Amino acid sequence: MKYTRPAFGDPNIKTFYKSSPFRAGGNYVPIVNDHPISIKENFKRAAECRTPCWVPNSATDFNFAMLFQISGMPDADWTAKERYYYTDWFGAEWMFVPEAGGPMLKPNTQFLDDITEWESKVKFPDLDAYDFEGRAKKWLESCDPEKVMHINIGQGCTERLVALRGGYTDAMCDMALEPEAVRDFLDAFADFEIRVIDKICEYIPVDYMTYHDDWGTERDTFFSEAMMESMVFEPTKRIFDHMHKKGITVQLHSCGKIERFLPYMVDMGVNTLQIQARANDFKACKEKYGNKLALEVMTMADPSWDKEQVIRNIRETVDTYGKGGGLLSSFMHGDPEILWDGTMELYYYSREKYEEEGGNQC
Amino acid sequence: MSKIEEIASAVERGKAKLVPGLVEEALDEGADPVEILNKGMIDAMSVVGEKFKNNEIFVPEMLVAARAMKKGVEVLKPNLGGSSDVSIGKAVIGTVQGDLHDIGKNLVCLMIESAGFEVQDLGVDVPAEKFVEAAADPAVKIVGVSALLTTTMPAMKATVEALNAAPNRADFKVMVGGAPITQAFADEIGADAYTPDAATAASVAKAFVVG
Ligand code: B12
Repeated sequence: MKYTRPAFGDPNIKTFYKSSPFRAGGNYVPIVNDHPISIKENFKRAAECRTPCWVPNSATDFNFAMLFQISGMPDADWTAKERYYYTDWFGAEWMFVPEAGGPMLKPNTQFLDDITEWESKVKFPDLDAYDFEGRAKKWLESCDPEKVMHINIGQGCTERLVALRGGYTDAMCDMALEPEAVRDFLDAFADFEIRVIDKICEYIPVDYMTYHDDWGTERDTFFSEAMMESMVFEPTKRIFDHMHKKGITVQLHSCGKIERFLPYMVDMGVNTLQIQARANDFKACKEKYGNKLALEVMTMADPSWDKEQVIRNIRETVDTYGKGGGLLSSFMHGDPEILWDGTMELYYYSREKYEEEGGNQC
Repeated sequence: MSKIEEIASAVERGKAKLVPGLVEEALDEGADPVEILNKGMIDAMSVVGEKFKNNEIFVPEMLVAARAMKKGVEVLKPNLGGSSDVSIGKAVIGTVQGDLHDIGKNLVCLMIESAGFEVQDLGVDVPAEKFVEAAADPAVKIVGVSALLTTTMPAMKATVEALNAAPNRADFKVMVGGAPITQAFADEIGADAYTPDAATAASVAKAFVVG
């Protein structure tokens, strides 16, 4: 162990209060203060599958906002304790379900009953009607400019189609039966997303964006490659190309078992993946695509684990997925001491590991 | 290709616009309506379910096949004349309280219906009492319970426990499924069967009833 981990409560280490849009309250996270290179440069190396100096930790290295925070568009309040309804900026109705921890299309509602009529019925939100400028300004005040500016722009192509068609069933039948109308709609949606990206970038120097589109079930992808190729991949790639043009690193979030689509993700220019550990074989992903696609692997600690188990899990994560870069991680915990020690371990253990690996300038 | 084979092929390919016409033609040619249903549709849907199970086709293809079958059944129904050999029993299926995932549950409904059951879809976010109430109908042979979230697995447990306490428990079988569910969990909560996919759900349900 080359680096001594600063002990819990070390007066030379400051902490900051970290909260999340997804839950009430927050925790004090220690601020590591001996970075050999800038946090942003380190992030870029890791995300581009080059050897970084440490494994980026989204809890300490990122400023994060959801699109609703910086646009004011209606969205779920994840901290709500009761069920309630809201209408999104396209007009689709949602129900927030606290016991499940997420929103869901309000059952038996359908904004658009025929996809071939999308052009006359769907009104893309007027972005000028939202106070991006004021909200961005306010959010930036809470940011540390040294850290990675990370924005999650939320629902992507298929999720938007599903939301407007009142659920997956009709949307998926559309994809099978009305491919041209779906493709036209998704092309228009990609244009809209590009306007959203431009709008955000007017006010925020974004480094990293997450695009959300669930493509998988527990056992396989929802759709065939052919269907995705004819309707979804191209508009999606256009959105990613635009992010790249703005110098933004692209993260794709996709639930379910999506291994079938990994080669397409490479072609679309995805940089980092936020996918489900339960449904996908992460080790195989790392082996096969480790030099092309970075993986976000959470070092989620089981609340019943003691400190030793937490530390072991962090080391294992770094050892298994960190080689040569391409690993992004995170560590949060309810116990302030474990949170401190885990944060330090993720940072210092990965520094030791990358120094051993060599080939990088830190 | 015989008319019935043509129907089967159109159902498999999800040709909802073609199927009703083909069914009419088959009827005009004097084909037996029950045979059209069994060979042209139910068998075709089990081929579809099997392909889905083996990851050869995907959810959209399965949904459109089921829709095509439905269109055909609409034309066929008046000709079946309520013949008793059509429904092999009633199945009630729903997603547990707090959980609104319905794609898997809908596929299970479709496949079980295609296997010859009369299906009552209880929808999503269904409290345990609702399942028990529906299961009180003496015609019910299968109760299907779906859950997609680890956070709603306790609701599944509570639902199965409530069903297990029902006075007519011997009259129906309880089947469970959904992404996080396993055989071990099904055993632990006292369900009669777990299946990982809709096609197997249909064959297991059928085996329970037909023996
Ligand atoms: C699509 C989806 C959604 C859609 C749901 C649309 C709909 N109308 O159903 C949306 C986007 C709305 C959604 C919302 C949420 N979701 Co969701 N969702 C999924 C996803 C991607 C696919 C599920 C699916 O439809 N699969 C397709 C069908 C065909 O498969 P299936 O359901 O497994 O069913 C098959 C078998 O299981 C079986 N089966 C199913 N039921 C039954 C019943 C019986 C009786 C039998 C015998 C068999 C059987 O047969 C089916 C067909 O072969 C999964 C990912 C995954 N890995 O599964 C996440 C997933 C289930 N969701 C998840 C989460 C967390 C949520 C939210 C809380 C998210 C949030 N934070 O906003 C909300 C909860 C809303 C609520 N109150 O329920 C998590 C659950 C994690 C956990 N803790 O368990 C998953 C695993 C994704 C993840 N991130 O990890 N979700």
